[in-house]
Formats: sequence, C-alpha cells, structure tokens
Amino acid sequence: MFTLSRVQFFLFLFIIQTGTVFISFQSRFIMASDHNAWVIFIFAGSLHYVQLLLFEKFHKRFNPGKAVSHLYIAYWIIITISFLSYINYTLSVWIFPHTPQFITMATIVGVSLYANTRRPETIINLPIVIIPLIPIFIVFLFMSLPDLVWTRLFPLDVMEYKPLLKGLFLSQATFIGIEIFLFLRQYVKDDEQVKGKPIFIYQSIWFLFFFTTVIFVLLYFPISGLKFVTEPLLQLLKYQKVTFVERLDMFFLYIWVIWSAITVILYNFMIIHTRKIHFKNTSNRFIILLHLILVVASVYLATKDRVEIVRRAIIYIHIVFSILVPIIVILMDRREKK
Amino acid sequence: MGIEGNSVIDKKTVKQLFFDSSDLVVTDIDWPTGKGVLCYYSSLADGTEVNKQIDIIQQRASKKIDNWGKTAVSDVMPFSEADLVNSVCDGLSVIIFQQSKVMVTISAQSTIGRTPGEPATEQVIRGPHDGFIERTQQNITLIRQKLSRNDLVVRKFKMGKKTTTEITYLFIDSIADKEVIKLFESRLQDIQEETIMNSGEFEDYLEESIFSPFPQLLTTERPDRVVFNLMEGKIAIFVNNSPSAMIAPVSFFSFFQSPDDFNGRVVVGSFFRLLRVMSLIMAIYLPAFYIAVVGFHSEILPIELSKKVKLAINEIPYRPIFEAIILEIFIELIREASIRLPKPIGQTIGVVGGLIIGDAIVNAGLVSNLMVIVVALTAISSFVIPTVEMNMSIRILRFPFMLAAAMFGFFGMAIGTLILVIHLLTLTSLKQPYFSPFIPLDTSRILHVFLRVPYSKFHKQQKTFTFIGKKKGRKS
Repeated sequence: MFTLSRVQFFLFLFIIQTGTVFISFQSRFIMASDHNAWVIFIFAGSLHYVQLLLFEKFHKRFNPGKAVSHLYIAYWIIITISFLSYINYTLSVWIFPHTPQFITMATIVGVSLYANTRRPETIINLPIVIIPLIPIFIVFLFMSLPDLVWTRLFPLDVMEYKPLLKGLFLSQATFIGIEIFLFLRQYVKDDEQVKGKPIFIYQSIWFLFFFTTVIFVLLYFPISGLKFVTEPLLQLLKYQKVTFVERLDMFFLYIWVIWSAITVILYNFMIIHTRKIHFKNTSNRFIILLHLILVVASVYLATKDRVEIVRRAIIYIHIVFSILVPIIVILMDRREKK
Repeated sequence: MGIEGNSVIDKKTVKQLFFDSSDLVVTDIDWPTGKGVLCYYSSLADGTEVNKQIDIIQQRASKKIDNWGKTAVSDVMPFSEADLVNSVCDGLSVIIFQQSKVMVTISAQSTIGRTPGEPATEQVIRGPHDGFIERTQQNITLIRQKLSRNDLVVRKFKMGKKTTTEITYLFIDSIADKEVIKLFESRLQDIQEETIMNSGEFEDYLEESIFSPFPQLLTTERPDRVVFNLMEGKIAIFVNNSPSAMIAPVSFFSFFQSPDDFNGRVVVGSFFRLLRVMSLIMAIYLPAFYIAVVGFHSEILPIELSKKVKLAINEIPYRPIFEAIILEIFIELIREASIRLPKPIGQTIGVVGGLIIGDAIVNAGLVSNLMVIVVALTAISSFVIPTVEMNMSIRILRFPFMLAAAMFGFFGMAIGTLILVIHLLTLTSLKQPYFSPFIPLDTSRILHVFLRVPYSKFHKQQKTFTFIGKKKGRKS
C-alpha cells in the first residue's frame, strides 16, 4: 500500500481531470453555449466545487464493494480507450499520417505498461513532471493575447434555457475523473488537511486552467468558424508568429502527448490498484492483458466518426459514475450502518 | 589439522601456515617470560620499526608492568590461527607465546604510498588541492583533519573470514539517518563474497538497480567533497587499497555539484549550476533534436535557417541518424584512445582526430558541417558534468534518444523522456528517492539544486534528504 501527501493527491486529480480533454472540449462547448460559454463555465465551476466539497464530506462512507469496484474498472477502461483513440486520431492527423496507428498506440501504451510494473510510488509521483510544462503552455497561450477580440464576450443570452443546459452538460467533460477523489482520499496522510483551503486552492487552479482556455478560444475564433476547428488550442498556437520557430503548435503538441500519456498511466494505475484491493493475486498477466486490450480497442476506434461517437457517449457514462453511483454507494453505506 | 591442534608452535608450523612464502620472516625470540616466535611479512612490515617496538615491549615485560604487551601500537590477545593469519596478512607483526597461548600484535607497517595530490578527474580552481590515496588510514586522516568533531564515527567491516578486504565507513552520528545506517550495515552483512578488489565491485552489492545506467553512489577522490556530504548526513565508504570514497545515499542532482560551487561567489556558483543543468539537457537531447528536425520537423525552423540546413545536408549520402552515429562513435574513439595513451601522445590524438580527421570527414561528404557542430557541442556539454560516472551515463543515454528521434521525431523524444523520468523515479539510493527533492516534491530544497544559496541567509541542517533543525546563518 502507499500513502499520499496532499500535493500528490491533488496533482494526481488535476492530471486525471485535465488529461486529454483540455485541448478539445472547448469547440463543442462554445458552439452549444454561444457567447454565454464563459458564464456557463463559471456556473459549472461552482458545481464542481460543490461536488468536491460533498465528496470530501462523505468520502468515508464511500466503500464500494467488489461489484461496484468492477463497474468503475470497466468505466475507467472505457475512458482510457476513448482517450487513447482520440490521441491516436489526433496524432495521425497532425504528425503521423502514414505511420500505422498501432505503432503509435503500442508506444504510448508500452510506456504505461512499463510504469505500471514499477512501484506505486513511481506512479503517484509522476504528475509532478507536468508542473514545468504548465507555465510553458500558459506562456504559449498568452502569446495570442493581442489577437483576442474582447467584444466576443457579449452579447449574453440567458433567456433560452436549452442552450444553457446543453452547455452545462458539455462542460461536464472537464469533470471527468472527479470520482477518483473518492477512491484516493483514504490514502492521504492523516496529518494532512484536505478540506477547507486546500480544496479551494485546487478548485481555483482547476477552474482558472479550464476557464482561461475557454476564454482564449471564445475570443480568438468566431463562433461560426469553430465547427471547422476540432482542436482549437492547437490551431490557435499554429497561427502564432515568433522569431525563433515557425510552428509553435508542434512544441505544444508534444507537451500534450506527455500530459496525455501520463493521464493514461494514471488511469491504468487506478484500474490495477482497484483490482488489487479485491484480488490480492493480481498478476503481471492481468496488467499485460489490460494494455493489449487498450491497444487493440483504441486502434479500432481511432477514426473521426468513432472518436466522436465515443466522446459524446462518455459524458453520459461519466455522469452516472461521478454522481449517481457515488450517491447510491454512500446511501447504502449509511443504511448498512443504521 | 591446523596449528591450534599442534602441541608445539614453532617456526616450522608457522611457516607451513603461510605456505613458506619467501617474504615471510619467522624467527625465535627470547623473552623475559619465555620463548616466543616472531613472524611478519617483510613486504608489509617495517623491520626497523618492529625491532624498536619489540625492545620497548621487552623492557616493559622485564619490569613486570601490568599489561606489558599493551601499548599504543601493540595488543595482546589469545592465540588463534585465524587471528594470526589475519593480523600477519594485514601487515602486523606477531609474537606467539607457545606456553601461555597468547600472541602480541605489533602495528608497524611499512608505508608505501603516494602523497595526497589533487585528483586528475576532479580539479577545482578554488579550494583544497589534496586527494585520497590508496591507503584508507591516510584518507581518514585527511577527513578528520577537516572535520574535527567527536560524533564523526569510523567503523570497519571485514569481508569474509580468509581475506584482508576491509570496508571502512564514516558518518556523523548526530546528522546521519539511523535507518539508512542500519540498512547499509545490513547490506554489508549480506555480502557473501570473500574478496572485493575495488570500489566498483563493492558498488554492485550496494546498489538497488545495477542495470540502470545511472550511478547510485557518488564516487569521489576529494576529501572536501566527502566532508560536505558527511555534513549532509550521508555515509562515506572506503574499500581498502582504493583511492576513492563512495558516498550514499545520493540523489541524481548530487552528481552535478562541484566543490567550486561552494567556494565561489553566490552568483558565480549559481550561474555554473544552471549552466550544468543546461549542459545536461544539451548532452542528452541535442543530437536527437537535430535528427528529429532534419528528418521530420523541418517546418518548425525559420525559413532562412531551414534553407541553410537543407543546403548543408543535400550532398550527404546518409540519413542524419547514420551521420550522427558515425561522428559520435568517432568522438568516443578519440576519448578512449586519449585516456589509454601517455599524456603527450593523447593530446596529439585529440588534435589529429578532432581537427584533421574531422575536417577530412566533412570534406569527403560523409557528414555535414552542421552535424559536426552538433556533435562537438554535445561532447563539450557532456564533459561539463563534474562527476565521471554521471558523465559516462549521460553520454550513453544520447544514443537511445537519437534512435527514438530517428524513428518518431519529437514524438519519440517525448516518449523517451517519459521513460527516462519513470526510470529515474523508480531508482533509489539506499532506499532514498533518487530524484529528490523533485520527487517526492520538497519545495524547501529545490532552490538548492539550481542555485548556490548564500550560507549567511539560509542554512538549514540537512539530514540525508530532509532538513532538520533551526535555520542557521548570520546573526541578524
């Protein structure tokens, strides 16, 4: 078993939540919410904070049994496959149009296999690698500041509730992975406080990160043009002119590759670790099999249409596993205790 | 049957015990308390000094002084064959008293050794210019002279039962982590080997990942470096007859610190530390970066530069990876050849190899000018790293990165970096995290990795990999 410091815990959660979605969710979200996107995201951020507070309050009552744990394992496998197929598709569009997809996938999944056969301490410390990459990403992003059209913040239209709800629903993409809070909270050292200021700081960082990307995309691209831009952040960086390189987006793309690969490693760690809790004899054979499944499934799904279908479906599944199932498990635990 | 089973311990039996070696001196000696047999290796003991000491001890015995055999350089112990063999092999002279079944050991070894000069591989501009030699006792003297405190503990451990391999380890009791000392001692006890000839062999027994390219023990020939590390709660280890000390536990960043940093000014020391970090990045990534840019991502270069690169590589018949491998192997050959040859010839090889053959390779069109610049810069960067072992490891690492870049461009480099980081996170040195203070994250120590922090402003006592105690510094 392992223990987590507060920093390790929140960094783990941050990488899981930002993962691969942060370069792509903005297009669909802004198209659905129109100019209201930034207001809706503020509201979504508040919901995220409330969810974190509730998770912190009830985490001790979240004791998933064997069956529920396996449901979560299946859910995380689906999430990982969807991430990988999206990574695969993006890499094939942006960098490797002629390279067989299974080679790029096997490379990324191979790294995960290597990491997941190491000590748990290795993996729980891995998110720290991302820390120096975040400021680089932010600096790259801020280079587009002079090109932003600030009038695109308005007009707001909050009379129609359907687009607002749709926007709110799509903003859930940024919540994916939040349920891991419940699974890992028990490993945080007893003398490290989580509730109160630490949660607020985490929430603020999460919110600022996603909110900045939403604002930049909203102000950079005309909303009507967003339907042609699947990876708005990559496109945004592609148009930036600096003296030392021609294509700034290429550097960002590789930052994203590392970020995504670490997210995949962390999800696989959660799958393996949760299985180990119930099956003490979880062997390397299971770990290898899991990674083989990931390669095959992600290569199969890595086409534009399939990626889109999976990404649409994943938000529904996420709502079930981050809200519905935790509520049921917590309520059942309360009933059993009574 | 051994000598202990014999009723008579005489010259003959002692000679038999040492296989009648020609440098073994065995002689009968008259003693006030009865007859004895003196034996020692003439190659290890100083005969004149032995005679002097025997006279002193004999006088003490005549005067019937209590414990006459015990002086500053001699000791009395019950006779045993194993102790006799060990003592004589260690260079001691032994007088065996058959009647009383005791033996007196006299420590009067001959001192053959070089003077403690500055180690060739760890030269500094400012700071002490002494270095370790092949005699552990003198090496400990060098450390004690610099660190006169009573909690500096020196312990010895003998390998096996039949050999003279001795491991000496030092630590400061009040600073060193007790758990780490315990672990180190248990590892020592676990070594089954009878003879360890050098420190490299001993490293294999101490390290947790022997197949890793990264050294998990810091080897140094500088007493001041050992003292700095002892003051940080580390253990210094000497294998007898080796002129270097091993320091454990260490982190990856320990290998990038030089005594010059501590002796130099704050700004200068910090600048050079940052320069070393940059040189590390260049030594690993520069050739790979070049291969990736030329082979996959030429669109990232500004157009003017891109044109120049294309002109330079147009006439080259080989792919960039082969160009790079040709030149890298060439550089390694020059390095290896210049180490093995006498100094004056070694320098000639450098000139002939670097200038004449290098120029000829470019003129022959085997490699481009740009590749020569890249490989030369990489070589210079790798030599900036102040420890030889890490220097070697980093130089080897650039090859897998070059291959990854040749296969996948920047993607290969990104994946390679991730594998490298995972490997570094997995490594430990005496169970302490190798990538400390980044992992686990300790913000209080990160500054010390990149900068030479002023002693007067901030100086907390380090205990292995954590800080303990109150702040030290100038009285404000």
